[in-house]
Amino acid sequence: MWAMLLMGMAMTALVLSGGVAVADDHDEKVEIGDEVPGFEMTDTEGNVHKLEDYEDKIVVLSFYSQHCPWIIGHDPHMNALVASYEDEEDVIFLGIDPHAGRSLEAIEAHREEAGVKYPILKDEGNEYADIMDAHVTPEIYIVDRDGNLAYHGAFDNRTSPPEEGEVNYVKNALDALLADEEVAEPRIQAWGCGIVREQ
Amino acid sequence: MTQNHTMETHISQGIVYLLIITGLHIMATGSLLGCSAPDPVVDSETEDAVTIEEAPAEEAAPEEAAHADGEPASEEVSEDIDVSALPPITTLAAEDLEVMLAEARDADQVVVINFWATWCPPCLAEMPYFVQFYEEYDGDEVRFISITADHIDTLDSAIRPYQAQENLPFPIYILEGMDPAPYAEVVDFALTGALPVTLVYDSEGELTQSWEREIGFEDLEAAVEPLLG
Repeated sequence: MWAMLLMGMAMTALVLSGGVAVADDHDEKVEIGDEVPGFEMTDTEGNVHKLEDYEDKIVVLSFYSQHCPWIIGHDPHMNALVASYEDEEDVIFLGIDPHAGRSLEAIEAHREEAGVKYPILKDEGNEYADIMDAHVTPEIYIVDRDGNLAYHGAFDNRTSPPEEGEVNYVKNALDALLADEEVAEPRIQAWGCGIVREQ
Repeated sequence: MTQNHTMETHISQGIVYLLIITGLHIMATGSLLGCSAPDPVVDSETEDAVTIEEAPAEEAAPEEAAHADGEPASEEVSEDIDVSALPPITTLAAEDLEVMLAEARDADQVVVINFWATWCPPCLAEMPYFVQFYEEYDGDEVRFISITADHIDTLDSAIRPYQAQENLPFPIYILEGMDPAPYAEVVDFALTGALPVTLVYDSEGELTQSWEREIGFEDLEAAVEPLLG
């Protein structure tokens, strides 16, 4: 996938703005099993993340919003899930804030308040959200060790923002991938807050 | 039309209802969580015109920002509610909606569908406009259909209290399950999981206007008036 990414980067202009760079040569939706397009984004602490940095890892990409009731409701449960994989070096959690007009400082303030341990990257211009066809927060994509999309959708099966669901789709997907098994439910519709896109 | 599982039997078990409103009271007042502006005709520099998400906290009014940051903005209200006087709440399968739309088409009715949920602040902010629209337009020429994405399990804890609190005058339909895909096919619009969504159909059943964001009464009027005879 990295060769394709590099080719795509060479053929298309990378959009560089506010520490964000994403390839913009993906016109089609990324479906389960498809190679996940690369990105380069800066987190709230100033660290630059590229998907290629996590080659051979399992990467959880979670589109995030500090204002969304669904996000606020899921924060403690997501944090607990992240903690449960603390010793698992092959699992990487990355939040992505794609909302227009939201500063890194504001995101970081919420991140600290909510006890979020994983980095939150700023998707300037919601370009990566567009590429991934993300519409709500939380909306989660899991990239397998081969760089392909293994899961897309909801965090769990909660029926209201604050109440933890009985089935955690992300955990189930991660456990399957760590066991080199197929994800049983790779696509679950996510409900949540709409992404504030640039005009 | 076959509407499944009427909730009235369940609901009528208690004439006097303990209404527990958590957050809804303030959320329903509009201008909350920095969500989309009630007036959709907004400055082009704002993102409010295109999405249901809340505006940045730094741009929100103090009370909005406080709520946006997840601080308690709720209050508990106990109130005696005569639920038998409220419009029905029923679950709605995709095929039921299909029948409903076909009936409206046969009756040459313009149709407006609003997808919303009690957990969606901008949905609640725009709800007064739908109440106004329903009261002014729903009838022989126009059919208004209100569909909540709230889970059926939250009927007593969220949907019914909100209905009572806002005194919503129209029937409410509940999506069966959390999968919008079958409904998306029926309504000819890609339901992505983001709310609110409002759809307008002409009397021949063609989708003529759609929004995946909070709208105002003027939007509804502007979309519907040209379709009326």
